[in-house]
Formats: sequence, C-alpha cells, structure tokens
Amino acid sequence: MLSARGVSVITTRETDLTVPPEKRATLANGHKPAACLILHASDSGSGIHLFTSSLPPAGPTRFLPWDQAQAAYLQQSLRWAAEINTAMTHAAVPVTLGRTAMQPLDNMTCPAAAVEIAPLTKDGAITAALTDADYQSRILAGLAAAVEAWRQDWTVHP
Amino acid sequence: MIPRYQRILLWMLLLVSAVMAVVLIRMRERAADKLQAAATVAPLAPPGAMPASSVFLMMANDTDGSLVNTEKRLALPSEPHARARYLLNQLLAEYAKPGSAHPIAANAGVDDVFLMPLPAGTPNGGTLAVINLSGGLLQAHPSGIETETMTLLSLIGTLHANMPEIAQVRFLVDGAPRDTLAGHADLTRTYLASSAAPPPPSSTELK
Repeated sequence: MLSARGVSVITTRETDLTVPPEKRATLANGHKPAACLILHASDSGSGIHLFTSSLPPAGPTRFLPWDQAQAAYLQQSLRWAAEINTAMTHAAVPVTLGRTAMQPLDNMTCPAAAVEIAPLTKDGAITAALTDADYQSRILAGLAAAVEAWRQDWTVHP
Repeated sequence: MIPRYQRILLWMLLLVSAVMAVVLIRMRERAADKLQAAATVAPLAPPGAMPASSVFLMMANDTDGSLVNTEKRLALPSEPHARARYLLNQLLAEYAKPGSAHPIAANAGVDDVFLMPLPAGTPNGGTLAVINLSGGLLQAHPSGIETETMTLLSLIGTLHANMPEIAQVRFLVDGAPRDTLAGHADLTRTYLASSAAPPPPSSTELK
C-alpha cells in the first residue's frame, strides 16, 4: 500500500521469525529512515495503543548511548506519534497514548513510535477481533494516511 | 612397600572424606529447602497488633490505559522492606481478582523488596528500591506493550505513593536480571519513581 504511494518501506521481518530487538534497531538505524514504526498485536486492552519512548529528551550528540539513542529524537517522535493519532482518529479507531521503556524503541535513531493493535471492545465484550477484515483495513488506512502526512511534514520540517 | 597401618589409615581417611561429602551435600540440600520454605510461607499478612492505616494503590486499567489512585485501609508491617513487599503483593492480589481491569492470574508476585540509600551526590537523594519479582508472576503475565508498561508503572507508582523517599526503582526476577517483563517492557532500566505516576494517558474514543 505504501510502496504504491511512492514510499520506500523496509521491514525487519516478513514471516513469524524471531528477530532480536538489537538487530531490528541496527537495521532501522542503518537506513537513516524518515520514520520508524514498531507494530505489535495484543489481546489486552482495546483499540490502538500508541507509545513513544519514556526516555528524558536529550540534545543531539555525536555519540549516543545505545540504550538511550532515542532520547535525541524524542521531539520528532512525539510529532510522528501525533500524526498517527490524528490519522487513526480520522479512521475511527480509538487510540490510547502512552510512554514506555522498550527495546528496540529506545535504541532507534529516527522518529519512532510503537503501535500495539488490540481488539475493539465495548463494556468488556469484543466488538471487532484482530482478525476482523474491516478493522484491519481501517488500521491500514490510518497508518498509510499517517505516513503520507508525515512525509509532507518531514519534507517541510525535517 | 607401604606399611599395612598406612594403607588402613589411607582407606579410613577416604571413607571419612566420603561420609563428610555426603553429610555436607545433605546439609546443603536441607538449608536450601529451609530457605525456599521460608520464602514461600513468609507471612504476607501483617502482625495483627498493627493498626490499619490509609494506603494508596495505583490501579491500572487496560481498557483506557489509565492509572487510578485507589485508597485502602491496611494494617502494614512496620519494617520498610516488609511494608513495601506487602503493599505490592496487595496490589497484585487486586489484579488477580475476577473482573479485574488489569488481569494478571499470578500465583505469586513480589518475593522481596530491597531498600538501599542512593550514593551521596545523587540529585535529590532518596532510596533505591530493588523489586525482586517471582518467575511465576512473569509466566502468568499477559504479553503486550501496554499491559506490561501498566504493571511496571503501577508497581512503581504504588511504592512512590506510599513511600515517597523511594526515588529510583530497579527490577530483578528470581534474584537475577531479566530483559523484559513478558517480552516488551524493559526490566533492565533504572526507573525514576517520580516519573512513574504521570497524568493518565489521554485517550480518544469512538463517538
């Protein structure tokens, strides 16, 4: 979907292989991407859980500690997360925002956000499972719109 | 030619060594059993003589990603590390109840909480709490960024709300470092206790 829109996409895995977090971060950092997105699925909670790093922000330096590399990109990451939040809201997917300490998120030298997809629930009952085609297409549309918006924003304010 | 008495002495020494080895191994096993039993049957309930006092549990809610400060009246042990352990196990017991907004079906929770002063020169000073989680808690914990993050913030926030002198928190699992809680949330980091109780995350809901 993104490639069709002219966006160059690099994924850390195409199948259900276990790739260590440090390898994922190394791969991402090596390409100096305009945005990094960590996708997860979970049975807990409801809707989209959107996370940025909980590291305290730090100014750019020549050498970044591996476990705090994201600190220098935090302001950009918050803008990137705001784009995703807006796009998901337009796609009628509820979003919960949060901060977390997690690898590879904390190791990434790019604007980075983690998106955890949970089933939609109402009053404790599931209204849209993770396998629901309509729910999946709304999430995909939201993410694609977020990337599109970020590309334009990134071109103007890198 | 080795004299007969020396051969007898040698065999006797070997025999005594073997007996001592068996006795030592057995004593070590008994000591380990005793320690394990002490860890599992250590009373979670506080001494009955202690009066109930007001405590705050930072209760997590998976549905909206919030942490809610809930007041309860509990009789707490007087010793700080026992009080911290008791508080956290009370918090986890709430999560194990049916209908919990943050379900963790744990059969065990916090084994120990070690409290130690931060080194001189640390900004704002205070105490470092090292929470030793049980492996059983990790096995029972659901996997996910939100649920794991909420558990850590809830544990840290509860400690800080009731023992404000705790400034930093670290985690161990069965006495050893572990990378993550259940595959996501980082257990290797030193957490600032004051930052563990942020304003509830904002949430946009379907209209």
